[in-house]
Amino acid sequence: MAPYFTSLHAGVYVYNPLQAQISPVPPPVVLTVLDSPLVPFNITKRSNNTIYWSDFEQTSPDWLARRGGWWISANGYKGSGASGQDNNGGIGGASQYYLNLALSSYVEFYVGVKIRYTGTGWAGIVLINNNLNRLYEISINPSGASARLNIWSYNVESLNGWSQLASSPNFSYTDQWYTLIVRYQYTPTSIIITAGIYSENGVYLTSVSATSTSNRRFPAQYVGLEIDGGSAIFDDFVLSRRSPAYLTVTGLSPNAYARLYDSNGSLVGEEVSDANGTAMLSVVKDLVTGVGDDGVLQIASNNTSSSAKTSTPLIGGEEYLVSSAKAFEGYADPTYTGATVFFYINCSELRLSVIQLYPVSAEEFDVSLILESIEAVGKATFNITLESSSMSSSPITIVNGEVISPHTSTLTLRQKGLKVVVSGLFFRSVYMAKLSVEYCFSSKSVCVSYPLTLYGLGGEKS
Amino acid sequence: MQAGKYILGLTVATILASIVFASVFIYYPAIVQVSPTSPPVIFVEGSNSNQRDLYGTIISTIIDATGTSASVTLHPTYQRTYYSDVLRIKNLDSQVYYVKVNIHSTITDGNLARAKLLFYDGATKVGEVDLLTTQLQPGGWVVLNGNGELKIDFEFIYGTNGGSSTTPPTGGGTILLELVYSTANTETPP
Repeated sequence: MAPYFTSLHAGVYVYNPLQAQISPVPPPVVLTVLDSPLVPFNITKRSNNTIYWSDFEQTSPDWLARRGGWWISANGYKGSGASGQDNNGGIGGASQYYLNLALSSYVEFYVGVKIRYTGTGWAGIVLINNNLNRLYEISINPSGASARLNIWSYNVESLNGWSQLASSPNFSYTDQWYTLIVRYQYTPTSIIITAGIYSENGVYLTSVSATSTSNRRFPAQYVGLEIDGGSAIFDDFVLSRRSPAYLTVTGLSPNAYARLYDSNGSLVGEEVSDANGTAMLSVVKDLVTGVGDDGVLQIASNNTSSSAKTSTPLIGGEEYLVSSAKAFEGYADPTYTGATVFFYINCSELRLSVIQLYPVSAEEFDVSLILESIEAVGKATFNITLESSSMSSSPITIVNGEVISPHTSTLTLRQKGLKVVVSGLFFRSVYMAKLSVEYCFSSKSVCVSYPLTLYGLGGEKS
Repeated sequence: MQAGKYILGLTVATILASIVFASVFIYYPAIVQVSPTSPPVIFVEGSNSNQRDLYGTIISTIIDATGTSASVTLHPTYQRTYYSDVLRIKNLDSQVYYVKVNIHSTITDGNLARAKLLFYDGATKVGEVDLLTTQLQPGGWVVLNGNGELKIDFEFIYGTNGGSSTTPPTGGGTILLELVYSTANTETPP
């Protein structure tokens, strides 16, 4: 009995009063969910201006040779092209390769083509009559380091003979691809032909215009390629109701940059949209983007750049509607100390500023992001960083649902604030990521954490 | 004879009285030697006592001259606010003591969803006390080693219902508690 008594009552207990006075304060740091930029996610052709186009990737029965040798060669502007060798056997002693498509119902159309010609004769576009015995020729005529752009007629102004209707001033000429754009207009009293020529990098060189009022003038029945002397290669042929020199993009935000890239990643054209969200891109560098498909339209606005790919060709003269949607939407709680964000659009190249943190008081804090948990169905892949105007933290990194790095490095929050930036395939799979924004005094005496919840709604391919 | 009767009556009365008041009082000598000693366990400031708190305030830590009572004033905000090392318990004795906290009164209204006091021995958490529950905590005694120290952290979580970015969360006030320490860890203190 004695040991039990001892253990039960042997303690000495001392009671020291302690008081905790809790005096809450408003949040010294608040956050807001930023407006998402409109992100393009689809491109659809909204016009039907193209009468015919070809990038000469393969031999087509649509084309007929009027003498000369014509074949599809591998050395086109990009991919294959149409090569021709004059044999003096076609109309006017030249050689034509014409599109077997009747055009007499058109009172106006445009023809664009890329051409590479190292001969010293003439090479270009022809407009041919129904009987295949008269033509208008719009051609370049090199002479050493310069060339002229000419408009000729055969068997129109001169019976069974050539007649030069117009000739441009000389322009500098080298062995490169040129783009020839021709406008044809039929009126009851005349045929009006206007043509412009551009260098390989899209620089305008010169233009020429002619009006044929001869009694032997004719409405163009066929359009074709022509070589009169030597050989030439042609590519990206476009016959259109609108000038193929321009591609119209609608559906953009005002003042957005629209940039068109071909499948090789080369910039074809760029333009800033007007107040209506329409941009007219010069595409003389590549009338048919890419090798017929895989063009990429990049839209940049509000410091955010994203791209929409298309599996259909982007052809000069057409109008394309870019469908856009907000990449994310979210809300902060009423105290601006927590936020929830939903991601809708998948775009791997996007870097989206999602949340802005800014101090209410003049104090500076060390801020970091911490991934508390993630529940993902599928392979969520994204990065989350903190960014100031001049610095970026190391990221939270999630690859295929695996957390590679669960927190960011620390950035100092000053008056200009910090942004939470999300990049990667954040829409690809369904997930819920819970994060904390933690800010502390540099001494770590006090740290405050705000909750962030990110939802990916899934449904898109990468 | 009259005098004899009187004496007889007085004698009887005395005998009767002695019968009524018959208690026996016995006195043994005993000594309680009260010898006050300096407190073996005291409050001392933590590394972040009286340092910056939110919104231009100070983490106020007031400890009386004897080190046996303390008052801390903290200024949390919405969501989770964590205070590190704002108070310490120091053992001046070479023997181990055992520590608990008794919550006498707490905050019961407003948006205060969580309030915790955490004991750290170095970087190791050795005890956690729910400041919103008025009882002796934690369940087990926290060991305060001889000549050792325990750091005290606080954690608060405030909900945001009805709040705004320009107003403090509701749910402030005073939490009264006692630090209880003992030489023994085998029983519940009285």
